Amino acid sequence: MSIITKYGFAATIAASFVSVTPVMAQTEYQKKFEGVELNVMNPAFPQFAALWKFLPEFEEQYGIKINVDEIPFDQLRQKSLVEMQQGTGRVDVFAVDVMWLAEYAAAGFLAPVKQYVDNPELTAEGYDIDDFLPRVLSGTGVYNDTLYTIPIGAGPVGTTFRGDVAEAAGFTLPEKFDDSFTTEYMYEAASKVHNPENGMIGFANVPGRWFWGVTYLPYLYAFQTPETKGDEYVGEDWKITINNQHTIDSIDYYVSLKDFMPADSANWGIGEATQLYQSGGAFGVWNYQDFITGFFEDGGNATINGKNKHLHTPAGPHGVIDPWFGSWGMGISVDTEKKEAAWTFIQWLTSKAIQERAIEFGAGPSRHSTYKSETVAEIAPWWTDTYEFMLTETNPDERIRTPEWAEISDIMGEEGNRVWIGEIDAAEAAANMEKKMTNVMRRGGYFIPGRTDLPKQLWRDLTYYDRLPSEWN
Amino acid sequence: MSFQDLYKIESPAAPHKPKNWWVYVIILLVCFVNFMPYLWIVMTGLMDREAATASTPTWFFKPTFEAFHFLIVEKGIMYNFMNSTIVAVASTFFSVVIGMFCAYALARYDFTGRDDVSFWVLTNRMMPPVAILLPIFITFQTLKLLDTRLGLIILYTAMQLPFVVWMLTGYFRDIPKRYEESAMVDGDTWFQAFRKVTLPLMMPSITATSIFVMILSWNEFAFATFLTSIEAKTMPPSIMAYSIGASIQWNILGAAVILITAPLVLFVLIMQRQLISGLSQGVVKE
Amino acid sequence: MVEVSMASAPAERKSFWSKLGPSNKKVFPWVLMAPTLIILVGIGIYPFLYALNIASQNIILSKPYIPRFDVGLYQYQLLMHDPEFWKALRVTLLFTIEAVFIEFWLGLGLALLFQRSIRGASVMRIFILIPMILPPLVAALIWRYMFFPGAGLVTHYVGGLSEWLGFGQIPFLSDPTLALQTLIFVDVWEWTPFMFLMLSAGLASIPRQPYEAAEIDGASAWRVFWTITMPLLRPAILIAVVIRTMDAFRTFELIVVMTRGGPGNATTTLNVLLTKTGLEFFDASKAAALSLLMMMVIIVMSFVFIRVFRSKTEVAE
Repeated sequence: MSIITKYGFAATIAASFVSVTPVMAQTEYQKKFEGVELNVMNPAFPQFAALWKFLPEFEEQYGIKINVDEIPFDQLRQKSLVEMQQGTGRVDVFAVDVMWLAEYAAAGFLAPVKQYVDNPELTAEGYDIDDFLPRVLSGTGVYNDTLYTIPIGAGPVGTTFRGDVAEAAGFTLPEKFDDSFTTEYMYEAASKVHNPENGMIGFANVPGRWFWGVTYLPYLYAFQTPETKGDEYVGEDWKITINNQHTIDSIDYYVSLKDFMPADSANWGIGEATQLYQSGGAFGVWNYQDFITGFFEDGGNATINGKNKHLHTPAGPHGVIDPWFGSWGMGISVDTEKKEAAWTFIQWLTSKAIQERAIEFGAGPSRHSTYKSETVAEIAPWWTDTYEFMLTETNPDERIRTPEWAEISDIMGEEGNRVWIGEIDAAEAAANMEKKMTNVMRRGGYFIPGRTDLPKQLWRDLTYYDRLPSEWN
Repeated sequence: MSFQDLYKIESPAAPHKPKNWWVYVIILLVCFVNFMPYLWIVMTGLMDREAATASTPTWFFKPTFEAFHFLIVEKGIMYNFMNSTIVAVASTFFSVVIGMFCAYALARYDFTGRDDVSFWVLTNRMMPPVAILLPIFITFQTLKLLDTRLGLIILYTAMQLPFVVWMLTGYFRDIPKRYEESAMVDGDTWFQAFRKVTLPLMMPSITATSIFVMILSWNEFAFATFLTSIEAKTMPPSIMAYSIGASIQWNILGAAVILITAPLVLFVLIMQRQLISGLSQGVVKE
Repeated sequence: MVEVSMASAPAERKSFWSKLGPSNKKVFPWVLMAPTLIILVGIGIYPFLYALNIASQNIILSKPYIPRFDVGLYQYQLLMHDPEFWKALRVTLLFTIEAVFIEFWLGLGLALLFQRSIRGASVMRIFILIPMILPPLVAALIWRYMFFPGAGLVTHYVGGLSEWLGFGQIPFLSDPTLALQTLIFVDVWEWTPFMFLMLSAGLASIPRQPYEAAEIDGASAWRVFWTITMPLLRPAILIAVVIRTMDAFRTFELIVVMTRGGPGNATTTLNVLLTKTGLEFFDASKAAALSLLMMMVIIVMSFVFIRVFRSKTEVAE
């Protein structure tokens, strides 16, 4: 059965399933929003495009008009922050990447949403906030015990490989993630099929200096030992600890993937690597769970659709697995006057029905009910595989929850990329990272003598994030 | 072929010398290098996704309007096209009309501080856009000009003024003053003389300058990105979002390039004679 | 202020408006310039004062909770001791000077070739002008595509040729030294047509008599070029070179789209550094100080050009 007919079949199931799900009712109170216009700012990503397919339904039902401003990812944070810090109030709903939450929330740019969740006039009866995976909801939206955003989908980053190419080369990839998939295995598998003369490279990596914060990081974590977990960047006193052997080993491994890359690839971003994979020119590539449908399984690319194995990033030499937590949430601007209408939109967008129906077009789940639904099992089984992981393993603070993240990520990228082009070695990069990150933290006020109100390092005890969604402020 | 040949100068009025084949070789080579990348992206715009993502260049393919359909029907890019047109035309008109008088004053009158004014005007073109973005943003916010076409028109007018003033000053200088003076002796007011005598003589240069300004305004990216969002978004930020927003889609980029460049390429194609003659001060010479 | 003092100068009693009229040779030019100057002051002065003010503080816009205070010249000192700044300055100057130099000579050479009578000149001129008409953003995207592995023409054909010759693929954008040269190449591709156009126009406006005189004297083509063409071309050269230098100095789209300052920091120009400081880290004060330093550099450069070219033209006239 070809993947396309399989999808068509599943879509029919989904459609029939949805038709019996009660449509969320509009409350009497919400009627007063008719005619309101909301501006939404979001990245030009496939999971958002999937959700926007349902906008006409929302506009018809609530009489609220939604204007979507689609921004290239590279500019989204810049543009959001310009609007936020000037307090224009022009944008009512922001799409917030989990790694930006600390920055936005600490500066007071987002409005807490709990009061709206609890307001029956604004939130449909079947909304059921406790249906969200606890760690996903709090990981995405909680800063300082306060809920700011609602996740539209969350998942790990991983790797995608061509199963058919592996078969042809005489080996079988793991079906889903398991412990046998290690960094060493990955390198060997890529070596086996690497054949650039015939247009197939072993692994399309993403070494561009702006991407290390999402593409290299899984390896930084994988190369830790169980004892160094939690001390990847900073110690308990917020002193930078990144200058250590695990960092050096992980950079060396990451740069070793250069063996499979074309000569002119030091600036490659996710776009280039993905494009090469889509054209059938690469055996493996970086992925993010929410992009799988949009990039690899959209039914329009016969070269790769249905032939992929979507795996986690490999386990490191000490058996540590990267606990990646990637997520986008929708938050309300603190400056807008249309907060109630904005919430009406967000609760509709994250409702059970919409979330489940949008799976078909490439959106991701963040609710127990969606993860467990037949739709997901049928259309996007890779989600089902990560349910347990998102429930218990994932670390929402992998990219440490501080307003300084943008700078930390930039420093890692610049130094790492210099190793990639052979300007410096990994040891020097690690030393430079420590030096520069220390400066950033100092400017952020972390080392002021006698300061007692330093943020809690929540990643050291992740049960914090397992609180039930309805219990947050 | 000798080095000296290469720099042999001929005034337009000089008698024609026999043509050298190497001149054609060089010029055709330059044409090829300059045009090929554009032709290639235009061709990509007519490919379907499979041809556009192939791992080697595809030269023969069945043209399709798939990418145009995506941009025009799904993304409604023609609205951004309209914004771009309005903003570019209006800002060109205003900057040329306003800058013209300033250039005239700098060319015709010898007053104290003339060179300083002229240089100061130019310095307004020197700040990198990112540096003035925030203060402009704040000004626009106060004046309620964010995400409006009017705001962009005002900004682009101001941005192009230094260029207009500098281009036109030289050309005004080349028009002998006595033409105007004799018209004024005949009883015309200053403005009538300006309109009836100087302006017609300046028209080719003004046209050429306008073409330049139009190109610059139509193509502006940095300010358009941050000052507009939904209402007034112009073409450059839109094509950035739609073609390389997530994964790179070369055929969509190609279609977007066709849409954004077609008007200007056609325009310059039609106006190229005026462009050259206007820039070369196609006015009466002694 | 000038207007006021001068307007009160004429003795005869006239209405206020006629005092500003064309008959008043001292005031009238200011009246003509007023709209331009008002707009430029409105749009230009405020950002400048804003930058001056912000640069003396420690404002990080994305962290409004950090206490703000006056730091005097600290931001400038910080930059002066920042190796990143000096590296970026070096890269910027290299990029600007090399690109404008090549563009100027190529543009001049082409313009001279077109001085000859050439069949189909107007059609060929359009082909040559194409890169200049494209939005800089589009030009950069096109070249990103050209250098893309696989379907990119440069990678496929030039790289293929180099592989066939045994040199392997060329790391156009991945080698720190080569990457900057590649960007300069694209800038040259994009803006040589501008030089060509401006200098063609300049050449066309040179009168014929000096050449005839030179021919009678039997001067060599080389001598004619340096003693007649170049001096008479000065006004065109001035405007073309000054405008190009200013624009090359603050090149934005090209670098942001093609390398974003990478690999490492090999192509991080001052403008890329400014974008990172101001719009990634929102360190408004540091960004303001940086932009003022950039402004100083470019003003000095333009001033030198204008001095060099203008003083001699006026003598020539």
